[in-house]
Amino acid sequence: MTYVNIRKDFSGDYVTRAAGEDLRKIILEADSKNRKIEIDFSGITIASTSFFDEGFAKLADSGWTMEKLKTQIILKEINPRDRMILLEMCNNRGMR
Amino acid sequence: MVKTFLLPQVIDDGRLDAILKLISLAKSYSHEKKKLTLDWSKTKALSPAGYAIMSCVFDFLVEQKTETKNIKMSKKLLDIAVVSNLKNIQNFTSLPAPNINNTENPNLIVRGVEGGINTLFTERLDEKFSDKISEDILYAGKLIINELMQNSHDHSTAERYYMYAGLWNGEFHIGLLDMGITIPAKLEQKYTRQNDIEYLELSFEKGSSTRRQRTGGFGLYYFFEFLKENEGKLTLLSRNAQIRRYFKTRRSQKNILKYPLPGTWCFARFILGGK
Repeated sequence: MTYVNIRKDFSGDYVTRAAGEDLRKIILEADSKNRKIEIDFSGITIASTSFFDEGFAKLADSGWTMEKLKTQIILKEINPRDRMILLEMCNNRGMR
Repeated sequence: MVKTFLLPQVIDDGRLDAILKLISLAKSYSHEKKKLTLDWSKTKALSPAGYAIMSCVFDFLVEQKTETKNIKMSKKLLDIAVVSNLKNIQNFTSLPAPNINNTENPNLIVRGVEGGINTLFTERLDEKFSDKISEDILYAGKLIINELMQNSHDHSTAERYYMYAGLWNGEFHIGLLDMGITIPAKLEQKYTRQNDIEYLELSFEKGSSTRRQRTGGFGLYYFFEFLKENEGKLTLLSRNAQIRRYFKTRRSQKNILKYPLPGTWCFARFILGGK
């Protein structure tokens, strides 16, 4: 299992596309090693479509499905509104 | 020659013609070496947006080196950082760091940011307003400010911007102002539209983006959706156009500005205890 703590590992920027891209690279790296990943959002609200689009939705470009997203990534203590935006961004990118 | 400019009773995001005229005057007066006097005799208050507006005006006057004098400022207004800085504007020979205009009180937060993204602002919103406004409005406010901050950073290439959030007359106000490359100027690099109103409308469409790397273009569309859900009001000004949308009544006003804005100002309002 790979662990990411957003507040700690993305302190200073958990908003931009650049930060989202960094997160996606971590996810893909973990996946290449057949590891699941736990992303801890505790104590933080993201409220950024850019971060979710770049970090999660663009996994669709690497062949990820919604099913794979749900089985490979544990979203710990994510704000319900953040979860809604995240899923909507994935849907927008054609992730099914 | 000295031109006296009478400031409005309340400096806010309502009627911006006067402030835009001031910015236009400052530009031409600097070129013509004329002097400008700001008359504060009618001014009683600044709304949350007013703090950020006057911060942009302050920067513009300093940058343009417009010789400016202030008259009839009330003592009460002098407690406000940006007003005090305007009073002493002759002491600023170069542009100071924008945080010189930072302000915070129980109902207001104003931050000047120099370059980059400032996530501390949205974290501060939580601390300051979570017990005063609904979670929905607070989230919408954060989403808006995050998108505006990125747009300002990525597209306008403004070296600085001002963000504000505050409670005012039963409403929550939040927004971001920069004096960088305008939305129409940026979008016309890629798209062709008839006028600046159409460029501003285009900026709200899903998928419209000028970014070549990390393509997206969802941000403004979603922040529009949140304003709709929370019956907010939005005012967007950039270059020669202005759009005002009232989501509660579904009314919209679009017009070409009498005086252009060399930047982008975006103001959002939510009625508290409404929906």
